[in-house]
Amino acid sequence: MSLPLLRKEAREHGLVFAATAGIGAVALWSVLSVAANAGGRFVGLSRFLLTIGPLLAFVLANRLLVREYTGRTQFFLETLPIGRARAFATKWLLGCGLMLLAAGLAWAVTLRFARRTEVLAFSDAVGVLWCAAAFSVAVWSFAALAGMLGRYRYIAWGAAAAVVLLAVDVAGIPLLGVPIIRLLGQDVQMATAMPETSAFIYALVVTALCTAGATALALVGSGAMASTLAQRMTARERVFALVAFLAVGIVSYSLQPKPVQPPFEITQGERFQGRWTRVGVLPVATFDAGTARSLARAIAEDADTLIEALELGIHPPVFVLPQQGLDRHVMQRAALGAADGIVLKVAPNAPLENVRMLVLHSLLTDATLGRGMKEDRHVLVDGLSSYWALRDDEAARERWWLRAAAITEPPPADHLTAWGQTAERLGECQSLALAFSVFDTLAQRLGRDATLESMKEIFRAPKDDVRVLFERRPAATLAAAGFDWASLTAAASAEREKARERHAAALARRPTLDAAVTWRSTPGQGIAIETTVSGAARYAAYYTVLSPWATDEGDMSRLDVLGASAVLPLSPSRNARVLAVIEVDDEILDCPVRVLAERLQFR
Amino acid sequence: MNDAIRLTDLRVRYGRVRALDGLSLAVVRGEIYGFLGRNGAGKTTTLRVLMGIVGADGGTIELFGEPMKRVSVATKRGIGYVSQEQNFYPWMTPSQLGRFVAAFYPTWDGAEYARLLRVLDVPSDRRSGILSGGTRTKLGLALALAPRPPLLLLDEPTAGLDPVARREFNDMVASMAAERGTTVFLSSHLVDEVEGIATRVGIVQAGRTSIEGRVDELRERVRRVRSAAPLELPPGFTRVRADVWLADGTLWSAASWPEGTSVEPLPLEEIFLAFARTDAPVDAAA
Repeated sequence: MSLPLLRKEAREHGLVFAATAGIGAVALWSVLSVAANAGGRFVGLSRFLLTIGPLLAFVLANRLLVREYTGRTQFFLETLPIGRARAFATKWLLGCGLMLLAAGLAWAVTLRFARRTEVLAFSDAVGVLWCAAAFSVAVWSFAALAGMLGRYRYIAWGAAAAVVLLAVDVAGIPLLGVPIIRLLGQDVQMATAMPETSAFIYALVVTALCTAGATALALVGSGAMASTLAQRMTARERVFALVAFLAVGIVSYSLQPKPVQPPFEITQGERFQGRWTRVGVLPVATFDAGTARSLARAIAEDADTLIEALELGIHPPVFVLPQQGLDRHVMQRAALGAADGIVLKVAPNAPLENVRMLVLHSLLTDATLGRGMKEDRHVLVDGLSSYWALRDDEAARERWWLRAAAITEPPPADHLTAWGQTAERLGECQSLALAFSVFDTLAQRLGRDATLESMKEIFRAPKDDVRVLFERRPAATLAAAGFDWASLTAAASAEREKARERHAAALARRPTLDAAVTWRSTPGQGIAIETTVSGAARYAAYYTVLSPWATDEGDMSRLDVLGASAVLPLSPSRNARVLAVIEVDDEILDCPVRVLAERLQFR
Repeated sequence: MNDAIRLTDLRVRYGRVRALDGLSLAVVRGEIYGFLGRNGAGKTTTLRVLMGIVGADGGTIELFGEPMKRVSVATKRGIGYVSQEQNFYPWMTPSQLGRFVAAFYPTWDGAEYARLLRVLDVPSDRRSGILSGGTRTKLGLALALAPRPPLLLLDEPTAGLDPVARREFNDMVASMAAERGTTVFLSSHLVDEVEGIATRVGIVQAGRTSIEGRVDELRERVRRVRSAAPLELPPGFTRVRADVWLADGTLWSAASWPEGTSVEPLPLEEIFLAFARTDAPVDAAA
């Protein structure tokens, strides 16, 4: 130790150290107050050392070691008759001493705090002091090593943080079980037992290695290494460090195993246990037990056969809850927070084929971790789920072909891979019919087995991490089967034309509908949006204000209109965007048909 | 031994670069030794070896007759050092710097330091970070001289100073050296500066001493030989450059030259240029 050097350090850094001590005191008071009800006597000390400890070590290393090199005053120091080793030892020991002082003071304050409410023998708390000291010395030795790495010290700290992150997120080690941090584990927090000897050995090894590394950097090579490292990072190094940190963060996050949610238990309603799928349907007044039982069986068969055909790895329980008051064509899937499964709320008079289709749709969405809803495969999810639900019901299939044939407006070339826009334009009934027609065409052309083989590939469970970026695109799978989106579009179009011929009589009975949405801005009254429909006695107007980031319709408000026109109960502001939709119940198609979907912008 | 410094076959490498490649020199006690060399020739490395900042990879170091592998802390107490960069703690005033540095030197003379600050016109109460370059250099000299060291190492101390400040600094060094008998080892690439102050000169090139001696000796040994016809190198002569030859003074006196040959003594600057240029090797007579 060199006394003159200690005095110099005190003068040079005293103010910063005092400020750090002040911040540390406030932090200690805060964690002790917060941790007072945490149950452990030394929870506050543990939290303080885990948060403020590394911060204090970082500040100390910066001030005592890094600054001397970056400011080139190390060179002046070396011209004085004091050995480099002695100067380094003085600084290292000063930093270590200050860390121990901080830990000791924090321990003493925590002990006093704990003794206000309970009897705690000094001898019981001494072990905690040892743990705090070992932790502090290990952290300081690492900070000193990082400090001697000069401009790369941030990378060293980042790497240490990444190691902890990976240990916790990937290896599944609890934070208080990570080596070194284990010194402040639960037994220590409760002051009930000392950590295992290995925890101290880890700390000792880390301290020894870091100290040896820091000493080598300070003394070997005439100290030139430390001086060189102290220079500022280049822009390239900064970018590299940033990208490295982001990569580690993303990888550790994406590799984090997702919690397995338990399936919910079905205890009510008519239950049916299929080979893979358990289904429950709750009978209500207008939905009798027999219908419920038969629906449960049909759903179980649908799901089981699809699971087997596509070798899906999930077998969620399904529960259908008929609910009075819902519109016939409105079906909702309940969000389950803590359990796994498919719960649907439907109207008692909902078309059963649609309920079955929605179950299969949910199954495929879950099996693909939601990736089935991506634009380049959504049509296949809709198509396959409807195709599967209708597979044994020729009458229903023809009804859906009729709906598809009713699409008169020629779809744009990319309508199958821009499914959000297609569905917005056509509405649910006809977009599902379109998807069905596309899938049915694919199955006819390729053959059922080959089509299912392709779907097995497309709906395979994706990797739940960054590797998903390398998954095969549906277009590539279709191409392998001899199809591409353009040829599929053309083939489906041809099939719809045939359906139009088959159902010409029915289609001719459909009324001619015309709809318009207009808006006007009146001073003092704002913007009024008016919908007009000719050819129908009643219609439903849906509307929503689109947020700046909204791309789809989301949940829309509904206005049932009797008559030819209505003003929407909406007063949007200037520059707002509104999506207005008009649907009319089509008796021939047996579903609501979207007559108009228009995005308005008020400039 | 009368040598303050004796370096023999000194070698220092920075990775693949040979900073010193067998450098040898001797500095007699009480003299001012001018150490001339181009940038990168090895001057600063030599001084850093002498200060113990850089360790030598080979060769021997003798300071005041004591051989050592690396300059010890005890030896450093007898050395004052002024570098080309004054990296003082910027928040310290000259007074505070004096107190800080004093703690490391048992021979520190506080009164002398105060006198030097006055003589050198260095304000004692201003932070060193805001002092001008010239004032910082003078502060460095005061810090180096206050312990009354027997050896003063100056590493291009006047680089960046204006001519007046440079002259003042050199005059101060010369008078201190004369007054105290201090040995001064002054490295520089400014020939006129060295010529005006040094009693002996060494020229370093590519990590080796090319030549050393008193300034008048060097002028006697190195001369320019002009002749209409090409001349053979006489025995004992070395060709430094095309027409600059090196030989002992006695050989120059004894040599007989063909008619039409002129032999001129050279100023130190020409001698330095002849030895320091790297565009042709120095040849020895067969």
